[in-house]
Amino acid sequence: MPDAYLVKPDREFVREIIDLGGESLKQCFQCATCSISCTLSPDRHPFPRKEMIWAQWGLKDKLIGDPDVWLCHRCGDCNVTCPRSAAPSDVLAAVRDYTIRNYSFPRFMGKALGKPAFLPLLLGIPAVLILAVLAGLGTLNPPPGDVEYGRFFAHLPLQIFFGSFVALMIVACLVGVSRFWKDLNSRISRQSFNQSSTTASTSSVGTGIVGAVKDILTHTKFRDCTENKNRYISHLLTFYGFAGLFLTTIAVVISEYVFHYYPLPLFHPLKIFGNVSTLAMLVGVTWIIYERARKQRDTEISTYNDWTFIWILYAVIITGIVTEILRFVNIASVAYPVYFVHLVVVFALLIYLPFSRFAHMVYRTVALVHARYSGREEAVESAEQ
Amino acid sequence: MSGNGKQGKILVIGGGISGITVAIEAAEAGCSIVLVEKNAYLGGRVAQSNKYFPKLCPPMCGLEISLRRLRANGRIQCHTLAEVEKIVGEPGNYRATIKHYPRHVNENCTACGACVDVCPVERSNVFNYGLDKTKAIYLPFEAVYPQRFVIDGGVCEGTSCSKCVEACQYNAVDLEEKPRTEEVEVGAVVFATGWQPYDAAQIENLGFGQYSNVITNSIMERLAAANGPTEGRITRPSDGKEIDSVAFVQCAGSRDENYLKHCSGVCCLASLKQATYIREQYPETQIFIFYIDVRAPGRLEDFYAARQEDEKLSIVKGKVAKIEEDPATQDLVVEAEDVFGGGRVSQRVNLVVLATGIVPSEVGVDVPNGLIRDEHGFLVAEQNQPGLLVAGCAKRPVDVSACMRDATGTALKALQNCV
Repeated sequence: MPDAYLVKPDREFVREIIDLGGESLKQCFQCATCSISCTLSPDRHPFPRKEMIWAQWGLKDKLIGDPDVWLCHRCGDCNVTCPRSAAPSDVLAAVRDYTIRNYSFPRFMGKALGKPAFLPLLLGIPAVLILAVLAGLGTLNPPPGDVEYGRFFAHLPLQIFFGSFVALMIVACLVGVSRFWKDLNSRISRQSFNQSSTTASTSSVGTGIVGAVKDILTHTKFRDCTENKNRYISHLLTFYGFAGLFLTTIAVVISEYVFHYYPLPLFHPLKIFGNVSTLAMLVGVTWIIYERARKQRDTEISTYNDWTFIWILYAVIITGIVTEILRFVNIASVAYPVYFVHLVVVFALLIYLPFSRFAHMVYRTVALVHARYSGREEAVESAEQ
Repeated sequence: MSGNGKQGKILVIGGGISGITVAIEAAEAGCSIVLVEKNAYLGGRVAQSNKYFPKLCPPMCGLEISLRRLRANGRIQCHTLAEVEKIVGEPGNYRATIKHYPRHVNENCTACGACVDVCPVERSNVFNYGLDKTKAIYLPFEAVYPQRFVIDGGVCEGTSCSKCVEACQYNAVDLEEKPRTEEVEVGAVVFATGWQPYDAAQIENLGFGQYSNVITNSIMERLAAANGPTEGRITRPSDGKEIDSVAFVQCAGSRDENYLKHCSGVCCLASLKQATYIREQYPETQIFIFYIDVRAPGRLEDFYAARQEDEKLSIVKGKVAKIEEDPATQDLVVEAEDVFGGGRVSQRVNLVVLATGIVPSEVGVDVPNGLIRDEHGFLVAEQNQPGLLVAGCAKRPVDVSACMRDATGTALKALQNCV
């Protein structure tokens, strides 16, 4: 038997989990069907049954530092087999959102991102900032002639502007993640998965990172889910599309400053690579939106946090594509405003990353590394064999 | 209460333990009764049971006492192989249409069995849930009331065969008997239509109907019964082998929005009881009971506590979510999370017993303004008219003793409505 544990229910925490989409959590009667129907759950201390009772009892400390919450890839197998419609998958998603909000630095940003009332302000800030910079540069009214975005928002100020905000964003991420890592460590010493398992072994942080990155690049865990097979493909497309565009951006900046080779011709391999990545993301995100809309009615809840992230991502893709097309067709009156909107949503996507649903990228990676580091992931893998 | 005419006359639909109890209690109070039973015999699910919990005594014992009271009472008209089709009228003044199905065997029958030997056709034995076969002419079970053979019209070859007619020296067989209808006038009607086991084949992840060594608790009653298909020896259906390990799966399909929403309230005790059947025959067999919650209210908790003394009985908290068969041995691997043990369990066993729940029987009787059911399909106690009453498992899933108490109360209500 585990050591005596004094239950201190945090009712506010329960209410917030319910608000974040875990509204079904009180339906659970602990039958543990979910722990078996989950294909990713390990043999020792499987999830999500235990997470469900922690959520019901308001055991915030146990849940926010629980790496298992992040081992779930939300395929929804448990939602289908649940005899009570308690939707463990939705509850874990809500706990993940709560975790992101909880570790937000500064904390008010996490709260603001979660509230629809703040959305105009959150989009207004980058709009005003960009307009201010443009006013400073004196290009608020773009010069006449062919559409050339560099003449609207010059490249160097653009890179300095975004670069400095990205630096702030990275600091925010690091602070949040280090707090998260500390809590993960304290939870493991409290619960220790390896004590009771003979197969599990710990690994160094370095090997943990290698293993986690391999997992993420191949999407192995996604593929194991049975109920939600196509999420594997849609997420894979989105992921590689995003990664591709990220690399393209860096390559183009290097090309411009190091090799002074700019602009690139349309059929330059780098250009083609960027456009293919965009297309992959367009298909991936469209698919995700379609699936979520289809499931919203019955099997799976998509919350405000889900939708704001997805739609902002979608807005980035669409405005990006339109921006590119308008340059070719050379309609200045529409091209510059669209480019402006594009910059605003790019800001919202990237700079708000640590506080939005996008932060799952960071927190899940850290949790996967920790799972290997602590021996949890080994237990998962031995269960699969 | 003269017993003549519709005044003081009660129609009881269903000849299980509840219907029998309503009939004898009301008859002994002076009413006359028309008891209508769909099967060829009285006793219903009780007749199919091996033992009662918690006293572990045989149901046939109490059933025989009830049937003796029923036979001794001249006010009970008993119709087997009959169904009530329609009821019209109002409290104190009902007219019911009863359809009689042919038994093809009349009261001359002495149950000598000479007909069975010559009968060339076999049928699946419904009484034993299809575990064995009988001839087309058969006695439902040995202590049956009425003590008469019956012919399964669905499989009998009829007059073209007639071997039983020739074999019967009492002129008891009538292959040309036709269905007929009858109308009766009564003051009140009691629905004691009982229950059916939930159809375990509906449950996708538990393998019933797919793996032969996955059985239900109802089937277990027949396997353990001395008058059952194995003469009471509990063995594996697939190969007749002895059992080294068995898993009981509680809430199989029950308390599950995907299948049967309600809790039947008796399956926990039924499994604990059936664990004693196993233990009696196999002192060393490992028994597992996987549960969500054990429902053992009141004095039944003592029975639960007594079973926990059994060292080879493991009571595991965690619902079985998956069952797979090893095709080589036809053993089964049941998977559950052992919640208190802290891990997933994959338990290999010889036999799996699904503790399936109680579903109200379908009631096709046409009554004024229809019958009122609750969300689970059970008939509610308060029907459209005070003369229409409900007793026993037709109303809610309960054990036998609760059925009998409820039936006695319903008999009193029926008296108030028809005198």
